[in-house]
Amino acid sequence: MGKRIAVSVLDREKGADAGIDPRFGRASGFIILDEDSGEILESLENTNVNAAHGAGTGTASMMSENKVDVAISCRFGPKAFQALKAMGIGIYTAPEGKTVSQVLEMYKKGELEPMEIKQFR
Amino acid sequence: MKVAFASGKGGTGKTLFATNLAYRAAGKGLAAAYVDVDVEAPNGHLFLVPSDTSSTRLSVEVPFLKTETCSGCGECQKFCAYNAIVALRDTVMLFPELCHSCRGCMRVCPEGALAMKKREIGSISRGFRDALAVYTGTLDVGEARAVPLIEGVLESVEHTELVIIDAPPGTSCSAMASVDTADLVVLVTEPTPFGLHDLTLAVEMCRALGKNVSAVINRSDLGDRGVFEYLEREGIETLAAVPFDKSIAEAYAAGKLAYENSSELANALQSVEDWIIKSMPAGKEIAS
Amino acid sequence: MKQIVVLSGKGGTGKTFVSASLSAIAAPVVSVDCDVDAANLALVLEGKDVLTEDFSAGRRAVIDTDACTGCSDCIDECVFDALSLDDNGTAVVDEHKCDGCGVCSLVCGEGAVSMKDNLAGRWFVRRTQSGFLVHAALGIAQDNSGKLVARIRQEAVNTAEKESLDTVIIDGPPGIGCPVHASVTGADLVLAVSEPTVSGMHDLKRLIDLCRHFEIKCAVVINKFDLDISRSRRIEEMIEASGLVSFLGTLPFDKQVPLNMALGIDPLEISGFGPLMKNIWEKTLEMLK
Repeated sequence: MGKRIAVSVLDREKGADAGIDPRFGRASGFIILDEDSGEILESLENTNVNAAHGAGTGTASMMSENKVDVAISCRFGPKAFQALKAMGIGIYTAPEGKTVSQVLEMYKKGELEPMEIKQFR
Repeated sequence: MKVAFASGKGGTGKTLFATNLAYRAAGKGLAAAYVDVDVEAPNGHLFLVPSDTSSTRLSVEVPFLKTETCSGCGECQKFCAYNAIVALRDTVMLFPELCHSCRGCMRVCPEGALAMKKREIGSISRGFRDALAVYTGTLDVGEARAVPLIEGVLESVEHTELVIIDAPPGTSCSAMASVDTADLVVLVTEPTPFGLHDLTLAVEMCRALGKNVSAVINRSDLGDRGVFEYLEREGIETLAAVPFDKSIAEAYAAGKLAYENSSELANALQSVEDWIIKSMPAGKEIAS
Repeated sequence: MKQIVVLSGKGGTGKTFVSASLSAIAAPVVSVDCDVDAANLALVLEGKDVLTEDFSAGRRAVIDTDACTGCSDCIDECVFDALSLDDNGTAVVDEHKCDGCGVCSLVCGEGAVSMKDNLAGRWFVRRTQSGFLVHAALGIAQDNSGKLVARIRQEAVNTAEKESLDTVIIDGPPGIGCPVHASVTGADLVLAVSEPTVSGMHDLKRLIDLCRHFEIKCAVVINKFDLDISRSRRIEEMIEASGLVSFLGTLPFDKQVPLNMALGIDPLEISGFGPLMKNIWEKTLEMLK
């Protein structure tokens, strides 16, 4: 079995065709896929959307609880970044407007940027 | 006697009134302190220019892992209402800037591995402008929570006859914490629809706290009758109405105390002072 | 999509005036009034609210008075001073002070304390002449944590996407705390409205520090510049020397502006301001390229 890849999504119902949600901490949901087979392993609602603060840290914890190996979104806040790094979870950014299957392809081809500290917005 | 100057809307003139009143009262022989709890944007010190200042740092308590016995159980993370603590495999990661110091994580830890330590969030400075004691709270840039600093500044004020509190605008928890310990509240407003809208929120806040409230209308000639009528309907005493005066604006712009340049402002301050004295415990008099 | 947030540090410098004017020039846009504590842009950009939603944030403790024995353990442990005993010897919650941490519920040996969602305010989407306005009203004494600001910012982006609009203009809150952070995060530019007063300069510096902290572009407009022309020039020089912040222009003092705005007079019709605002907008667009 390959790595567990989590992608932030706008609408979980659409499965592999779901558009990527540009935010990590307040993403409406996540889809977790098997890197090798592309099979959808989990579809998670993100309850941290409602957090006053610390949506980033709460969502990072959710990744850890679901044994995610790599997290992909368009933007990660500094706290989410720190937490995911400490957890040893890979952090990659993808362009807006892509679907889950497109993002997975890009990841496998090495086309996605691993996130570095300077990229905070 | 603690008197807070508050408003719903920003920029109505709280600091103008609070600084001038406090300085003038001290000059007349009243033991007075001016306290600036607009800790995100404190401005009073720019006008009072206190000297002989000393400053202390204010800390809040946040958790830290005191032992090696973390089992990675995640109970702390589950309990934390603020997402300030994240469980890793055999340790925790803390985000102290998110912590509200409730100590819940410390309680739920089955290993007793968490304890509290201090973390600085801002400064309290005290100085003097002639006879007036000047306190200023300044929140560090990037800090989220003002309330602990506001409470800390107010607690640090040495007992004195008259404490003038310069509150931040608005009606959220910072404004409330600033006004909470006051005996009297003076709402500074402007006679515009924005001013009225925000004034009604400020009055609601003061009533929720059971405060004795009065109002001062600043730039009273630049607007309509809405605020005047509202205050009358609500039975809130309007202590003074100060018309727009370029000399006040210019003095303010240059960081000077304006009351010496404007008899309108001086009269208004006298009316507010009279109200305060009237509300003080019996037997208090001051030199005129 | 471009998001511009208008800030000032201290209140009363003219954020709402600038936001309303830029919304009118750049229309159709989605405007957002992030001063949820005292929302004034909503008084200027009139229209019909087409969507209204409740907003809950955090929790509040609730006491089951039948189960409570008055042992006071919760009172002893509450760091927010939100619990006390009432005349019946039962614990009672001060809803203004309760922070929703849950410690009282944890320590209560009788299971008499539970945590419920706290209704903190409401938010609205309004159709206006300049496009859309997202605004909100936070309840009195509520924690202005920035969560409501974050919520309406998200709604603004959703609305912009749905209506194929590419500009969001955010009227920011005063101060530099949490609600300001929530109004700044993810935005493309901070437009700082300053005034040539000692207070104004002081707060501009703190705002610039904030922009540095958030690594976001900052551009400055000096409002009411003619109140003190030499100080206004000093601000300009300070900006130019900093190399980090851009200067967009000045606006003159007009004592009738607050009333005229609130009376519904188009801010651009107020004499002299139209061309000045257009110039500021053009320079803003240049910076966003």
